[in-house]
Amino acid sequence: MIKFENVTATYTENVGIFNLSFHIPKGELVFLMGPTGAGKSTVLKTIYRDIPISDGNLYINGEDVGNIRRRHVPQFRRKIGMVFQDYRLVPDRTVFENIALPLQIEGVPKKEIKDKVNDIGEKVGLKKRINNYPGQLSGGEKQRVSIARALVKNPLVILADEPTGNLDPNVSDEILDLLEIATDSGTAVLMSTHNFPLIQPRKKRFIELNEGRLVTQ
Amino acid sequence: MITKLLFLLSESFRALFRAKLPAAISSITIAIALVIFSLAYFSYVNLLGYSYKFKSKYRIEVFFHNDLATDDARELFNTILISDGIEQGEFIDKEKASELFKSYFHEDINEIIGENPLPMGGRYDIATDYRNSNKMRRIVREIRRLEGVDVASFQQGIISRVDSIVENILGISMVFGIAIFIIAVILVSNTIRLIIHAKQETIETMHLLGATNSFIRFPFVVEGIIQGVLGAGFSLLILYLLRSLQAYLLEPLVNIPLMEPANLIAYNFIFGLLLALIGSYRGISKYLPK
Repeated sequence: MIKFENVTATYTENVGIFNLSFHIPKGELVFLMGPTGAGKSTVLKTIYRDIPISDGNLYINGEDVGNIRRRHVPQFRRKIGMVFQDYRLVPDRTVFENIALPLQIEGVPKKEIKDKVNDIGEKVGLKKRINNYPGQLSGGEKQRVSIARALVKNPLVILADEPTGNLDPNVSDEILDLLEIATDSGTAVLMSTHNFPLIQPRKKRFIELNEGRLVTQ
Repeated sequence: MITKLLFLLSESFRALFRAKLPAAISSITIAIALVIFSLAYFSYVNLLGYSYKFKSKYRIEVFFHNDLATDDARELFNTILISDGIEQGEFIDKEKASELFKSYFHEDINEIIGENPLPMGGRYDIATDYRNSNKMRRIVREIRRLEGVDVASFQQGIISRVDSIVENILGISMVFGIAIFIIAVILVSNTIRLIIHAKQETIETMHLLGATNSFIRFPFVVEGIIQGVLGAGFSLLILYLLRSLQAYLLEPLVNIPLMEPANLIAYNFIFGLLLALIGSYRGISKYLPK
């Protein structure tokens, strides 16, 4: 599903990721580990085409990301679900509206949006909070909204950038459970974290980076 | 497509209601710009109107040789009448000349010197497009070349001065109008940019979710259109109040008939929309990837 072949992508000359190769198949949850500045976020940004690839090849479901034209990037991003440490929810929209946003961008009919959002809202445990605004939610609930927003469009891939960074251990575990559930439908999940104790009990594959280079996988 | 359009339209109206204060500030900014612009336009139209009225009195006076027979004089008058730049004319025979003399000097020339020595001639009004010093000078030069013409003249000094004053004022008005428009565009786009700045994170999030630039821009442009219409409405209200105030306070003291520029309402809406559209387009472009 996600295939890196000797990928190099840099911000400036010496900052970025270098000659990176790995493969994440369909329906697998993989952790991206490494200290701050290791290049974890750069890997994710390269996948969603926020940073251009300077060398190598990156494939998502067989599509060469480097060859996607700039004007087709929005359509490409619709296939990817994103979860961020700071949630990135729209503050003046309710939970329902935040989850519905990717579907509205795609132009999905209203009735279908309603069914899908209510369904996913129930799955992530937000049924009672569906009409609340982000400001009325706890950190864990906000991250659930963020995950629901990523899941609602049945993405090929979910990229989670330190999704548990602002959460306490119990809530972090619940978030990991949700991301793991996402893999049941065949979605590949790549989650960056530097919290090794959190992921250790999960016995999942992890990719370790340091200074933009692969250490172990 | 229709689902998307309906969603974007509803988003635009909702965004407007969610941010009433910034929307009001933006509309008021547009209204102020439009009021200044309308007043400048009002002054321009009135100045132009008065200058036309004044110029309609521009006239060329021609005196024929004294030995010319009446029929020949009439023929010469008609030749001049069909020249380029002449709108209409009045033939002055000896009798009419004597009447004019009497009306100016309150004396009868026949009684003073026992005969009427005044020459025949004509008074010619100038066509609108020829009412300026240079063109009138050219007409006079042509008339002077005609056989039988003794003197042809116009009030060159006054007309040259009026022309230069009107040209200067109109030029300044034009520059002033353009300057107001540019300042208004900058002012409105900065106000809208400030409003958009508060939504910067939302715009970034939309991008990450796969929204295209036009999808993001659309609600802001619709908001801009609504703000433009509201701004034009406010502007017309202020102009109506100013006009009423002027009628109430100044008209009893100084009676200067003022011309109401045609299409002022339409211009307010057109410029309001234009300002808001340019403003929101400029405002949002800063936050969209190229």
